[in-house]
Amino acid sequence: MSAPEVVRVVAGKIARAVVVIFAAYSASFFLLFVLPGDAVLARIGTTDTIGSADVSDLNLDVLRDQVGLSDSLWTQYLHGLTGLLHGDLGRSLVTEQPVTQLLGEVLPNTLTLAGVSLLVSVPLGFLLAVLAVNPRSRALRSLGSLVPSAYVSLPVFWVGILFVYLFAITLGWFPSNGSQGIASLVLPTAVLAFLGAAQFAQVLISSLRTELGTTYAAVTAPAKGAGRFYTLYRHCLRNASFPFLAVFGLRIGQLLGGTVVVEMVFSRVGLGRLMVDSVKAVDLTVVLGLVVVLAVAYVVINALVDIGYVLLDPRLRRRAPVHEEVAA
Amino acid sequence: MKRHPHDATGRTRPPRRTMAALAVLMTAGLVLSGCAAGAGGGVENASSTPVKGGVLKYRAAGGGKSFDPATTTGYGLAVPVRALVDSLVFNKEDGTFAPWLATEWKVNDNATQFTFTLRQGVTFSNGEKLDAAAVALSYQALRDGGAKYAVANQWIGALAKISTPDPYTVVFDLAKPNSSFLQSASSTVLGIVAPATSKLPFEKRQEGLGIIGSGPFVATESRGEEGYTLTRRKDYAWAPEPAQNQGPAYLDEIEVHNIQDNSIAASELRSGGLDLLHNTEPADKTDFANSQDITIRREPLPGSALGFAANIKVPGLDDVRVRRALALSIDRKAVLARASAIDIAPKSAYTASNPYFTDQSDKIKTDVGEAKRLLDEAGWKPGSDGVRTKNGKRLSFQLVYSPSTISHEPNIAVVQAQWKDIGVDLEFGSLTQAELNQKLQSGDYSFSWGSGTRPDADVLRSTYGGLDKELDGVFSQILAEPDIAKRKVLAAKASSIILDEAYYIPLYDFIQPLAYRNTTHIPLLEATHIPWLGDAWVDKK
Repeated sequence: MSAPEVVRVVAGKIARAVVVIFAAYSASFFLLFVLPGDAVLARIGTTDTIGSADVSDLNLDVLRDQVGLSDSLWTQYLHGLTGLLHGDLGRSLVTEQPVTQLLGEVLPNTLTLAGVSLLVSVPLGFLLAVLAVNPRSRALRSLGSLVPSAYVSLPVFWVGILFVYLFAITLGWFPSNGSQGIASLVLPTAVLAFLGAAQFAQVLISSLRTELGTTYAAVTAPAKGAGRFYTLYRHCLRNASFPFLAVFGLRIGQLLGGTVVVEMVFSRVGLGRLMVDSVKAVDLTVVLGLVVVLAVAYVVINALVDIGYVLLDPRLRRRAPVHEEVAA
Repeated sequence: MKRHPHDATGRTRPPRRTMAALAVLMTAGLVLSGCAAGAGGGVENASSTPVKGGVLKYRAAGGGKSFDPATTTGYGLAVPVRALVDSLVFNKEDGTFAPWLATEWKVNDNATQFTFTLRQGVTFSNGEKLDAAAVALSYQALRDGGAKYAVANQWIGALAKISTPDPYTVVFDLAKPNSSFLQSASSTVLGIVAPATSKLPFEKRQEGLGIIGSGPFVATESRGEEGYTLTRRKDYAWAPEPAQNQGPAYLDEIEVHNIQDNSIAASELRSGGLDLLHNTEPADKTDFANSQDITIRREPLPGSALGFAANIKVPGLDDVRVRRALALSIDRKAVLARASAIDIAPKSAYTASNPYFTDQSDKIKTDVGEAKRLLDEAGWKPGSDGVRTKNGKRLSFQLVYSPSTISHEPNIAVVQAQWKDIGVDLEFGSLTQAELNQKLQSGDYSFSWGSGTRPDADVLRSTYGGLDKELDGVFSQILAEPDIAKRKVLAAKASSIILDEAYYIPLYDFIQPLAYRNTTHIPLLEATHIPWLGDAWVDKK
């Protein structure tokens, strides 16, 4: 690829990223506005307040003025967007803390959980896939492919609660809640890592089977004296990894936004939990901040996956697939 | 009482008991609650010798990062906050007040002026002195915050002026009578914070460790949304008068764990991972009630009974005959049979543990025949789908509540079935807090879930104020009457009007109290049933 071509491709990518983030921000902004009630209504008293939460006497408009909720929809939207361009995500409508601070407090926790579980799930996924494809016994192969499918179909919260009861409460090996210390990372990581591994294994099993059925693996390699495992490992695995890469990218996205169930079950601080709490409290600024962060993450992951394809497939390096995409 | 076994894993078995056993339990519950109203003391176990040292692990539902007393308004979340901030006076279980940060106080005849004489030698944990200026500043910060401290400001009421004639005297002048002000002043919500905290902007107060009080414990660690740790203050020497322990607390630390899931928290209590727990699912309540290792308190939280508060502006409910019919058609025995084993029948619009409670159970009865007759008389005739109609309008109602009421849904379904039998349709479902408050403000609902925990005669006003001239008159009289005995008479009158007019349809005195391991000792509770943790201890493990 020539230099101007690279610039054009990169510029195209960035332009697309900006459009994605803008669209995610705008869609979330207007969707959130349709939600009944507002943050001011959410933050005044709850039904189990000691005493009474008589909201009828309260002049909430003062508070709405203070947090900027009484401006017109359009003003609020433009205000938020201008802030976003300046890197200012605003302040929580409930706690009034800066959104960047809130994100900064929860991000490390979620990133650790997502990162470690991803690190564990990749080799585990490959291992499960090989175990499901490699054995000569048909029964073992069936069993091997059953395990990931079964795990994927279990609800995460159920597995989480099961782990808590078994390993935390009954056996007392790990803490059941919180994110203090490495021990607290074990159970939530395990729940997520097994799920990731099972998803990867499902895809890999299917593509490995396809590869094993092709001429080079079924005929050529054995004819040259290669064993089944050698063929699988040396020849098929790389070719079978393309669909895996797509799922891998999706999984990172899932982990960033989707750790919520695990964060709730294990009572951990995190991105997902912040999102749920903020949606419940109609805390628009925090939700929008989260949406922007997640949108950026998705864009970056997609770019990385594209690069991953190029690295895996020498053909793409010669023919620059990104170029075709832009042209299309 | 027969013990209910656990299975090998320590998990609860689903409660399966005969009606006879249930009846025994319910009777026991009734007897216990009857005793409780007069008891006034704390939790048992007080006979054993206190153990110094140790950590109390506590969990309440719904906790977040903030433990600002002024915004921590739920009962469970306020429990550890009680150990962090002291109040001017201590509200005893019988409704009377005892000295605490104030050694004396004076209330004028119409409850518009409250004068407190402060104890000398009290300091905040940051070394600042607790004097009249600090108290005034603590209140003023909440006033300045306005609607940000909505509940706190409602409690303070129409405050006209705070004056400090000398360094140890604070005078609160109110624009309107508010005899509940002493109760407010005794609460954690209006607990006194150090000037350093008072000067913080709202958002900094919500960050946790900025909250500095004069209590027996100091916040030393914040784990964000996951909880915080309180550590004993070694020089504490100004416990409320009724406390056995006037010196530093027995416990070294209080760990607050914001465990999200109720059943996981209950299992942690069973396994010893927690010592004290608030908020329990019905099945776990029944299980705790029969446990050898765990005690669950049997007294309802003092406040108002749980049930349906009518919006009398909607068609149908604007007619007292319809409201009475709805009240009469509820068979509370069937509702209680579905509820947990420790919930009890209501006897007033107040819960039995409210210091201002008077037994009015004769006003809460079941008579389905009379209910049908009243509906016929009001002109609601059975329609084609079984639901009564009048002028083409169906007798259909909507009950709204927040997600914290979801565990009551099976019991609400019993009412739904009973109302269906007399031709009334009931829809119910939980709403987010924002949507619920919006509906409550705009009047777009038929019934709201009536609750409210405050050990005061005034707890009913927020829900039933503005419905009825006579009732509003009684509420005003309550607010202008500082004398406890006279307030009690007025409270009985208010409850009686509410029940007669069926503004409120009580279902049960809901028990959502603390559960604790029998190794945990809490000898003293304040009127709100919040324990005084300066006196608490845990047996050595």
